[in-house]
Amino acid sequence: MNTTTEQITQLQGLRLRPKRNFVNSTLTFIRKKPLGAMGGFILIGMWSLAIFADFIVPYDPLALHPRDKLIPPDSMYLMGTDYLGRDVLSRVIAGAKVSMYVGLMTVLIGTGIGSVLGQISGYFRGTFDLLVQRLIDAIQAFPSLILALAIVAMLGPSLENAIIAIAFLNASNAARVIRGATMAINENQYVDAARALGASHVRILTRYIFPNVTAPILILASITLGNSILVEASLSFLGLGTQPPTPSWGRMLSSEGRFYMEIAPWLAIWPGVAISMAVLGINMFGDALRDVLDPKLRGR
Amino acid sequence: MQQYILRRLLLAIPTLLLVSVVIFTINRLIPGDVILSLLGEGGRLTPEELARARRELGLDKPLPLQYWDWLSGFVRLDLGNSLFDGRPVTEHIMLRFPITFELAILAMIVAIIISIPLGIISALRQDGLLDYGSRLFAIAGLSLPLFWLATLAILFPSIWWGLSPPLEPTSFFKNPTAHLYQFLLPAFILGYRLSATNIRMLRSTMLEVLRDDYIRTARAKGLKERVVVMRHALKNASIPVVTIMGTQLAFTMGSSVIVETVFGLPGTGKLVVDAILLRDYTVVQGTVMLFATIVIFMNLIVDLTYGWLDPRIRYN
Repeated sequence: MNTTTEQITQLQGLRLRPKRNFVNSTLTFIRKKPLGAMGGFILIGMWSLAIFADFIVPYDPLALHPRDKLIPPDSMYLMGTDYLGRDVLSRVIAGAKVSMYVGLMTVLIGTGIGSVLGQISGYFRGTFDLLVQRLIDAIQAFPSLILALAIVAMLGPSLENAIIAIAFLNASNAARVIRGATMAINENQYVDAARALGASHVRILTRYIFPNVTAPILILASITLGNSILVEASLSFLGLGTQPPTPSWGRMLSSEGRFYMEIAPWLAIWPGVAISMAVLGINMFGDALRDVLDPKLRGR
Repeated sequence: MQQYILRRLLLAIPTLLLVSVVIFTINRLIPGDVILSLLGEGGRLTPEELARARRELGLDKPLPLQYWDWLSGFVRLDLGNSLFDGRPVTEHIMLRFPITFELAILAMIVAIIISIPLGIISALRQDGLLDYGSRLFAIAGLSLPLFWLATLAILFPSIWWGLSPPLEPTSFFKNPTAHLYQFLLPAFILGYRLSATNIRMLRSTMLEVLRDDYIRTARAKGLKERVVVMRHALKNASIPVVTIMGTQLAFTMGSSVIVETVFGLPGTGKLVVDAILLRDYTVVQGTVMLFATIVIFMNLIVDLTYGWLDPRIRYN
C-alpha cells in the first residue's frame, strides 16, 4: 500500500508534460482553435473599445456639426457623418459601450438568475420543479423576439427595459439547461456520499453541484452573449430599445438613418459591420470554448 | 403510438393555458390607464365617457372574468376587435398570415438547399479548408443581424441598378414573377440564417454517424463512397436535422417581425410591430397567442415525429 502511494507520488513528481502556464495554454489554444482565437481577439478589441470609448472617440458622439451633414468618409471623418453632422466613427465606438453593457448585464442577470433557479429546480424536484418547468414551457412557446417586444411594450421603450426583457428570456433558457445538468450531477455517487455524511442542502448545492455546472454555465453565457446583443440591436432597430440621443448600433440602422442611406450608404455599413464583428467574435470564441470545456463535443 | 399521441396532446393543453395567462398578464400589467394611453387625449374625456369606453371594452369587469371572456373568445376564434380600426382581430390575422406562412416555407426551402451540401462537405472534409469555409459561413449566418442584411439587400441594388422592391404586395396569380421577386430576397435572407443552424447540426451528426460501425460495414462491403454517404450516413444524420426544422418555425415567426418590417411585407410580423407601436393591445394579444399556439403545435408534431422515428422515445 505504502509502496503504491510512494510510486504515485514519484510519478506525479516526474511531470511527464511540461507545466501548463497561461502563455503556454494560450499558444496551444491559438494553434488548435484558430477560429476561436480570432474570435477571442475580436472580443478583446470590442471590450477595449467599450471600456475606453470616452478616451478614443475623435469627436463627441452627440455633437452636431450642422455644416458637415452627410459627409462621406474622409481624413477628417473616417466613417463619414450622419444627417445631423454627427461623426459616425465616434457613434460606432460609443455604440460598443451600449452593446457590451447590454450583453454583460443580460448575461449576468439572466444566466445568473436562471442558473440558481435551474439548480434549485433540478436538485429539489417536486412541485416547485413542476411549476417552474411548466412556466418555462409557456415562456419558450413564444418566439423570443416577439416576447421581448411584448415585454418592452408593457414596460415602455428604453435601454433598461430592453435589458430586463432580454435577461428574462436568458433566465428561462438557463434555468432549463442548468436544471438538466444539475439532475445529471445529482445522480453521482459523490453527491450521495456527501448526503450520507450529513451535508446540508446548501452545502451540496454550493460545494458539489455548483462547481460541476460552471462549465455548462460558461458555455451558455458565451452563446447567450452574442444573441443578447443581436436582440437588443433588433429592438433598437424597431425603435423599442435604446432611445435617442444615446448612440446604439441597432438604432443607427433604424428608420431615422434609413431615409438617408441611398445618398449616404456609409450610414448603413459601419454600424452593421460593428454588430456583425462583435457577435461573430463572440460566437467563434464561444464555439471554441464549448469544444474545450465539453470533451464530448471535441472535434465535432 | 395512439396512446403516445394522446398523452402529448393532453400535455399541450396546460402549456397553452399557461401561455394564455402569460399573454393576458403582460397585457394587463401595462402601466397607466389603457384607455387614456389609447386615446392619447384622455384629459378631454369626462369621467362618464371614460367609464363608457371601459365598459365597451369589458375593462370594468374583474380580472378573472376578463380572462375568461378572452379565453372563451379565443376558443371560438373570436379575438375581439382592433382598438385602432374596430375590425375583428381574426380578420386582420387571416388577411396577413398567408404572407408570413409563405415567407416561412420559402425560407425553409432555401435553408435546405444551402445546408445539406454544405453540412455534408464540412463533415467529409473535417478540419480542411472547405470545412473551415463552411463553418465560417454558418457562424456568420448566426452573427450577421437580419435587419442589416435585409437593409443592404434593398440598398445596394437600389444604388447600383435603381431596383427597389415594390411597395404593394403582388398576388401570385396576377403576376407570379413580381410576386416571387418580392418574396425571394427576404426568403433568401431568412433562409441563410436558418441554414446556419442546420449546417452546424448536420455537420455534427454526420461526423458522429460516419464513425459508426454500420458505415464501416458499408465501406467494407465495397460500396461506393457516394452511396455510403448519401444512402447510409445522410439518411441517419438528417433525422435530428429534419426534426429541428420544425422548431425553427418559431424562429421564423419571430424573425418575420424584422424581415417584414424592412421589406414592407404586410404579414403578421409587421402586424404585431405596428400594433405595438399603435398600442393596439387586442391585436398584440391575438397575434402573439397565434404565434405561441403555432409553436406549441409544431413542437408537438416534432415530438410525434421523434416518437415515430425512434420507438424508444414512445415507450419512455
